[in-house]
Amino acid sequence: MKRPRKSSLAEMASRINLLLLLFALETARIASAQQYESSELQITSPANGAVVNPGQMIAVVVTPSSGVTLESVGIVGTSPIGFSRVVRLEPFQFSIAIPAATPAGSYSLTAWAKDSAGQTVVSAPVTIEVP
Amino acid sequence: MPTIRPFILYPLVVFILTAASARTARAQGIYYNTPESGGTAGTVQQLGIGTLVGGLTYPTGLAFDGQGNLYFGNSADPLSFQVMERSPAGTVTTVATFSAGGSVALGPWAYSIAVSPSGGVFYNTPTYTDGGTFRGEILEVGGGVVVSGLSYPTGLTFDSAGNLYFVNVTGPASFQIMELPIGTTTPVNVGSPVSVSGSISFGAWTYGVAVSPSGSIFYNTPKGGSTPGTIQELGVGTVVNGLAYPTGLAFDAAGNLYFGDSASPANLQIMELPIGATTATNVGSPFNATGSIGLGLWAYGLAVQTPTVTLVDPVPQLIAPTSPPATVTDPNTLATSGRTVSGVAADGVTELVLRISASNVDDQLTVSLFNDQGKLSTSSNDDGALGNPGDASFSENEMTLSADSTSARPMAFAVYRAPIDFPRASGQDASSSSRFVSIQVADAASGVTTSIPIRILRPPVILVPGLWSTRTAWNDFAPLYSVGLFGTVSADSRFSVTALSYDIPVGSLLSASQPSYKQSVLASIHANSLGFQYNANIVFAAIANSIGGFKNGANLNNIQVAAVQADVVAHSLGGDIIRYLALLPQSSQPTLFARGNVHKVVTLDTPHLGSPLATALLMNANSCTQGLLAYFGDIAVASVTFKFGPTISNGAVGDLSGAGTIGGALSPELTALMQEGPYPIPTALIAGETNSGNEEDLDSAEFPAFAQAVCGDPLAIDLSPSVWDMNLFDDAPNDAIVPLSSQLDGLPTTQGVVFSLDPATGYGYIHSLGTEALGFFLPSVDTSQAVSSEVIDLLNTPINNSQFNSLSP
Repeated sequence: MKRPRKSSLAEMASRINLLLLLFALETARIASAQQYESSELQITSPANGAVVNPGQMIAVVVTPSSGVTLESVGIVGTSPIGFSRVVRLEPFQFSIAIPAATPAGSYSLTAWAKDSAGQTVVSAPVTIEVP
Repeated sequence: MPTIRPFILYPLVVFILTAASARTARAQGIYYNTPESGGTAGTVQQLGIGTLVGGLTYPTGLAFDGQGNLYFGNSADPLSFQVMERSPAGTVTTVATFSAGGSVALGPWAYSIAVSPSGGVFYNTPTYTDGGTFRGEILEVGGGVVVSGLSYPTGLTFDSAGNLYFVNVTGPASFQIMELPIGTTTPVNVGSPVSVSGSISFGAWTYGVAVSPSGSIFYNTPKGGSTPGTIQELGVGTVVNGLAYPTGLAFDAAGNLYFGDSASPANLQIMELPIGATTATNVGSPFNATGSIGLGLWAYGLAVQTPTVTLVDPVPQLIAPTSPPATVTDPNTLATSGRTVSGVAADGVTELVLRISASNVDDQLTVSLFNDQGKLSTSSNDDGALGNPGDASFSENEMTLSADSTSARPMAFAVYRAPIDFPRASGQDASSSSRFVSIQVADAASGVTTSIPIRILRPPVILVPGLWSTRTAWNDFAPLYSVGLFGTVSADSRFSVTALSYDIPVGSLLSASQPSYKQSVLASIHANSLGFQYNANIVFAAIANSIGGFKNGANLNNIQVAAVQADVVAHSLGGDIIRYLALLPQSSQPTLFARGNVHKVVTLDTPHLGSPLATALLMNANSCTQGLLAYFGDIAVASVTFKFGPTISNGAVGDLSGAGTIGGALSPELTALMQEGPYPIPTALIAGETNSGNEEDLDSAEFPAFAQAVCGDPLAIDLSPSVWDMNLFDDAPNDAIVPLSSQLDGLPTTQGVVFSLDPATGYGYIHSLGTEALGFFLPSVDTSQAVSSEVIDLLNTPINNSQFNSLSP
């Protein structure tokens, strides 16, 4: 039976005192989620401010910047929209369902991807309006 | 066969009055009756307590004797009447019956009862025919006719010397106040008040009489035409105006007058006219008929038990900031301050001041605590205990007190401490929402004994959610608590359950966080992402607010009670927060007797020793998954910086960081919980444990697939069958979020209840419904009926059972 590998996380946990890791944290050691925001990709459809109805399917298109290669791309919508499937080859097109029970309001869509260097990159959000 | 004259086939209003003799200060023991209506039986009730006698038809004429026996009448029809006795132990017997031989005449189908100072029980008949002669009578139980030849007597009452007073009604709008001096057989008219002006609604022909402690005679008049009903003092005039159909006058010993007032046959208000006042206030609207009242039986009676024991919540006015805190000892303060209640929460901390009126200074009063079997209590744990004002511990079941001089009147004082828990060890309380003990006071000088019940309530149950959650986390926690599609709350009828949240938005108050998030994420942070201390303050206030409502009637019995603490069911982070409450300075305030506001807690999957997952979430290597979760409001922070006020607060995930095992690394706040605090909180531990079935979909579930594809960080990659257990928990049992050892605070499994196999699915139990979103299969502990039922069992388990652990705090 194949024994799963020990991740780097576990290796770290076994090597260092987690208490010290957490509570003697210098700012530099704490990750920043916003560090992934990148101009390497954009959501080119729908347009910012597009109006969509509950129960509607919307097409979302992600376009890499010139010269950028993306290896896997997915869409994250604020709750209750959720995750899309992950697309690994261009064109990066998605069909996102807006749940029928979605309350009126503004929701954002963000594209998350890995580039050819294996780095996570995140697009600027696009806002959609549910009337 | 007896006949009923046609005119009583109209709605007949009959109020029957009963004024018990009164000897003591403002009464708490107010008793009244309700008539049969809409298929609901008539009852005798104690105001603020509930039904004492059910299954009646048309009761009325309430009166106490000096031994605490309550007498009342019950009529199945206008021609018959039973005199019934309820003993202090609750036994009901019929002591006399009356049956008219012919027909009952015009209107006042009014029966009343009075007990003489020597214990004789007297009652009246209406005018009825017997052999062609109309006659109304007053009879003594066991002694026959005392007075005959009356018109329509009612409203019998004695003064303290044994003189009997009553109303003799001669027509719907005219009446006489009669006195039967003690030892005589011929009543004399001591007042023929002016006839009531205007026509009286047929059937609303209600009269009552009461004698004040100083000997003044009071009576009522019903509304006539546009002239309102009144309370009058004989020879003086109107005392209270603007009433409808008052009746049932009764004084307490301090001279406060109580009476009923009804605007229609179907409702009753209990009114109080404090001594010296001219305005009566509504002290209870205890009855609204659910259907029509039977013909002519609009009969309400009222009685005040004497001598009176008043139950007083000492919080906050009667609490001294001593160490340890206790009630004040000054008699004048004890006599005049505090809030009158009729019950306590069984939390082992709540105290009641027993304010006992006496006739004279230095009167000797024996106060005894009886259990619900009518026996002198033998268990201070089960029944509570007695002590003196100023005491910090209580162990007595009987005390002899000496009455003090107070600004109000001679009084004696004792303090009752509540039982340590609602359920008793033998399990007899499992199906109840309340139970009773009683306080008996025997006046050595007069030989009079009074008994007053104390209703024992379960402490309110507060549900506290976990990390990133709101009260909606409890929406599917039946049978204890659930919320339906349209927000309809369903809770187990034995418990007074409230789900609280600590999810107030705080993002606008923040300038930074560690780890740092983009402004839009930071602005969306709620308090449920912050640490133990920050949320303990919120939760403390929320519990205090809930207890405040409970004390003021928002309980299953809708009565005023004294209560200091609540029972808590806490999920995950909520359990740590509850334990942290003991470290807050406000938990040591005197009004909580320095014991906080939590009686006992059941923790569900709480990381008492932290979780390696919390540690991992804050690691730089996992910042992508961390950011992905933050997108959905699950914001992991080690700390936040406020723009104003306290500059830095811990984050919840930071506080939850720990190895999960005894001796392992712990956050400073978890370390603080391990230290001995000011008092222990009895804690029952429920834990969940997964098996491979819960993880079998991890490879294909939405979140892991997405996180692995776009993040690929260690935490995302670990979201895989068996890898998760190995890399996060070193293959130790866990609920997918928290190691089992942490859920059990490092104690052996015998000290908690572990849910590890759901027979329906074959799966184990995951941490929460939210854990399902990570790709784990349900069931979860916070949506499991089995877990909810176990929580109910633990709420029905006394805190001195070994299932409750004394954690520090």
